[in-house]
Amino acid sequence: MEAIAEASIQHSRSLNFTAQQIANTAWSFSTISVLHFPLVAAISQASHRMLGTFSAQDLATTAWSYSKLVLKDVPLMTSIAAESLRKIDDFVPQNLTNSAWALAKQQVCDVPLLQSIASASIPSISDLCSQDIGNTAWAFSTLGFFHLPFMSSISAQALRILSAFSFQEISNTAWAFAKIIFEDSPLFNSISAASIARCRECAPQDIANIAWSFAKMALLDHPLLDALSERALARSDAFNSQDMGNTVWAFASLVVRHDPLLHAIASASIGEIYCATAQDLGNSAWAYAAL
Amino acid sequence: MLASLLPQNLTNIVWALASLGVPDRPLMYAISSEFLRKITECNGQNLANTVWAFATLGVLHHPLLNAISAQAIKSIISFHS
Repeated sequence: MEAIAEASIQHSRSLNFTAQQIANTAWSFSTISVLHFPLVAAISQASHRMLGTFSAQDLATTAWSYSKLVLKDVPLMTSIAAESLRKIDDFVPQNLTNSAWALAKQQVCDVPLLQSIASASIPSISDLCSQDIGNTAWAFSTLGFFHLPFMSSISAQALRILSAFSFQEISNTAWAFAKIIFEDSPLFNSISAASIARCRECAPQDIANIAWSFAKMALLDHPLLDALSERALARSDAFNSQDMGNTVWAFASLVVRHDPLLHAIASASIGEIYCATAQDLGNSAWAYAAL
Repeated sequence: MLASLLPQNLTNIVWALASLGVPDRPLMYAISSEFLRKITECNGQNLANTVWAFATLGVLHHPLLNAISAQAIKSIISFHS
């Protein structure tokens, strides 16, 4: 009888998931954007109980997967954050950026973990690729967490590899540094030069984000504004109400009046008016009144 | 031919395809059908590695995903309750 019991325990163990298999299953379903609620619930429950056996990679992968699926699971994220802090020395740069991104997506502002992520990232900052830089800067700013040495390192690395950035990564980086009002002329000058040179790749949201960032930093950069304005005119039909609100707000707050742009946005706004939030409408109304 | 393979063998094939970045869809779908037939014999490693392979190659097969999800839930709960 003992042999049978032993064999069935062995069998039941072999049927079961290790931490790595749980994390990889979560990763697979989120990578193909397939959301199965009962599976997600079972993974969350199992993760809670097995967190002690999760490696740094498993913790970062699970956090990333839940956030990628836009699943808000604050209790799980909080437990993962606590376990991540214990194992922070094992995190490789990609684990660090994925964890920061996941915390921001879940709006879990875990200050001790963010501090550890920041400190652990600085020595390996030159290993970060453009996506890591854009996402990490975005994550820290979204959570309103300011860490001067870390943001300085991110800025230095962004400057080094700016030519490898996609336009969206450029605009996310500008947005992140402007959101926390990080005075950094070399970075903003390079972003301006890159934006002007590559203006044709610029999507409406990027135009709005870059214009908003320079206005927020009170950086009056006419060549950049001219380039953005020209590109915005060409794409005015693709602007949503938030992009329009942010763009006109930016031009107005820098007291730059581009009549063709204002007219184009005004006409496009009429079609989008039902989608606009009170804030978009307020920004636009203020901008038109101010100019 | 595929009918004679164990879940572990099926998993190894798709795992190899994904590791090499070869999305051979006819083969993937054939393996998927065979895997579905044997889903109750699969362990955690077979389930996790198979879904990983399909996700990595971006091959979306909902019947397979549903079955892996259901079997994974059973495995996860049976161990922990």
